[in-house]
Amino acid sequence: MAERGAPLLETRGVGMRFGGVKAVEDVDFRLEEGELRCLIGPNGAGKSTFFRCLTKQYQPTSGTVLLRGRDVTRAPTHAIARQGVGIKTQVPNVFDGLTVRENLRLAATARHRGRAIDEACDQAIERLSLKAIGGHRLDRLSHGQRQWVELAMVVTSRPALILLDEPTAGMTHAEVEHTAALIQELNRDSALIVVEHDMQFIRSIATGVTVFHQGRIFADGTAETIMRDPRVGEIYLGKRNLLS
Amino acid sequence: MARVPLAIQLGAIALAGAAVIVALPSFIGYDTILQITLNFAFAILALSLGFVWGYAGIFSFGQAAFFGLGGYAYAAAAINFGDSTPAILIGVLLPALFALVLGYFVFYARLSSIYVAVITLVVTLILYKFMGQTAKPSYMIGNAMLGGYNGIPAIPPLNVPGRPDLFAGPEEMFVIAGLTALAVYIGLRVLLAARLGKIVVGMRENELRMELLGFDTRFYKLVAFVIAAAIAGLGGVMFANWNAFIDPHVFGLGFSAQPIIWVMIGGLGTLIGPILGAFILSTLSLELGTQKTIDINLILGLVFTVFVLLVPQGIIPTLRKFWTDRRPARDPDAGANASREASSHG
Ligand SMILES: Nc1ncnc2c1ncn2[C@@H]1O[C@H](COP(=O)(O)OP(=O)(O)OP(=O)(O)O)[C@@H](O)[C@H]1O
Ligand SMILES: [Mg+2]
Repeated sequence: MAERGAPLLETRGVGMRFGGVKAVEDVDFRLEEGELRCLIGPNGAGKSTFFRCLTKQYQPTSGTVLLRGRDVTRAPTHAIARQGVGIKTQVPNVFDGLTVRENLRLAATARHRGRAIDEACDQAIERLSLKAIGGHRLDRLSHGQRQWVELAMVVTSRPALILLDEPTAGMTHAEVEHTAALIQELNRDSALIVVEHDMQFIRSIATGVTVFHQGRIFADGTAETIMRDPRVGEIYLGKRNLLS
Repeated sequence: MARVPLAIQLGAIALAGAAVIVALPSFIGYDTILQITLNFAFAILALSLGFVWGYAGIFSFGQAAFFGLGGYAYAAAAINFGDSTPAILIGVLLPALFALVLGYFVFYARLSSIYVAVITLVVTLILYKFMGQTAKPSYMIGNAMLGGYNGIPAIPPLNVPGRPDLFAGPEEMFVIAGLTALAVYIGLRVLLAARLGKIVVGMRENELRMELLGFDTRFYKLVAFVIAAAIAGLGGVMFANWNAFIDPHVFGLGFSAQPIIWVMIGGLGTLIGPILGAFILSTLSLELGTQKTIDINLILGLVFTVFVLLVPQGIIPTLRKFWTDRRPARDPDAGANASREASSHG
């Protein structure tokens, strides 16, 4: 949007410690409106914890979080959502006892009233191609389908920022490709941060990459430069570079 | 289940239920009228817990306390005003207000559900102690003596608004309590079908997801808690009318455990279940109370234990499952787990 405005998301020195464990430390992160960024890093690097700090599932133990320049460091989870931040968590958080449509209706109830609820549902079903399974209960869906439903729930409120924590985990090859296409479709309306391990996938959505390591930002750059960076290859699986 | 529109379904239940309640006193004896009137008061209490626990997922040990507060508030107000109409309102509002304050501290502090259970229990027992030591004349509310463990006798009955001389006898009281229970049931069905009901059930199913979607779950828990307290208070008003007497045993441990047992036996996550549970157990304990050979609590405890072992889901969910399982499996999604379906058939 505005060229000279504050970034959509900015963190300054954000840290999260659990007793002696520094899960996230001194993270300065910036994301512009409409940007698509991938977050990578080895297991335990602090990616999910960073997301939890942004959505206040954890209250950061240090630092500041700004949304469009507004300090939201002390805002509770629901208020962050109301400011336009949606999240698909690493372990899907859905309503297992409800159908796909009921899940979406409930999600849409957060931000819409009356007719607009159904409209938001229809749109989300359309955008994520969920029509065929609209009447199915969530506990009967495949892992991949559950992730898409969760994504659709997030989409009902048309968030400015969508956080996706490992959206392709456990998906088949075809499902991964579909998800890549979905992410690019969603990126037309929203900025996204996507935690992802699959380099192939990251390249296919061609985006900026931020690398986390031991709770800190380790490197930043385009997908190509990050993948050729031998330091990144080392922390990641000990490979010389991520393409090998 | 056939997809009859909710409004028609509830309209039919309201009409049929009201007809039965109005007609019944002519066909049953005096003792039965009194017994069922008490069951209605208890059914309202059971509904309040069935809602807050079964749908909002808040395990409240304090529903009996709100019931007791409603009864006491009605008694004190009716004695002072000499007219039951404002007293009913106070009997509903006082427990609701109490729940608002208690719930604010509990939910906004984000205490975990086990603490909510413990705190509501502790508050109930404090009320028991407090009400028990109100025998001194200094504990007068206007003209009403709280009376310590002796309780408040001679509570004025319900009267036609503005006409204290036209008051309800046992048969009218039966009809009033019955229609009130019916209205609470229908009101809760409507509420569960509305926005608030969906939100509350969503919270029970996945609180974190609700917050991530932008719902302030603290607020909605508080709302559900206050509504349930108001309903329990209304039950207490009926109870205080039933034998024109109330004493601190409504705050006791034994009494507080009763609604929990009713809900578990009838079926958590339903509304009919708690009503049924209240009717069965309250009738049973009265029947058993007339004999002196065996301790009644022993038998009730035994009934409860056997029930939990044999029908752990409660009566209504078990019947529903039996019913859906027997039907030809046209829809593979029907059947299993019907009891916890978040759709709000009561
Ligand atoms: N609630 C908690 N209490 C204590 N330690 C925690 C907690 N949550 C996370 N951690 C620690 O913080 C570190 C970062 O964990 P996090 O889940 O954020 O990593 P991640 O980058 O998402 O890893 P993965 O790729 O495996 O999902 C880990 O060492 C983890 O053990
Ligand atoms: Mg993670």
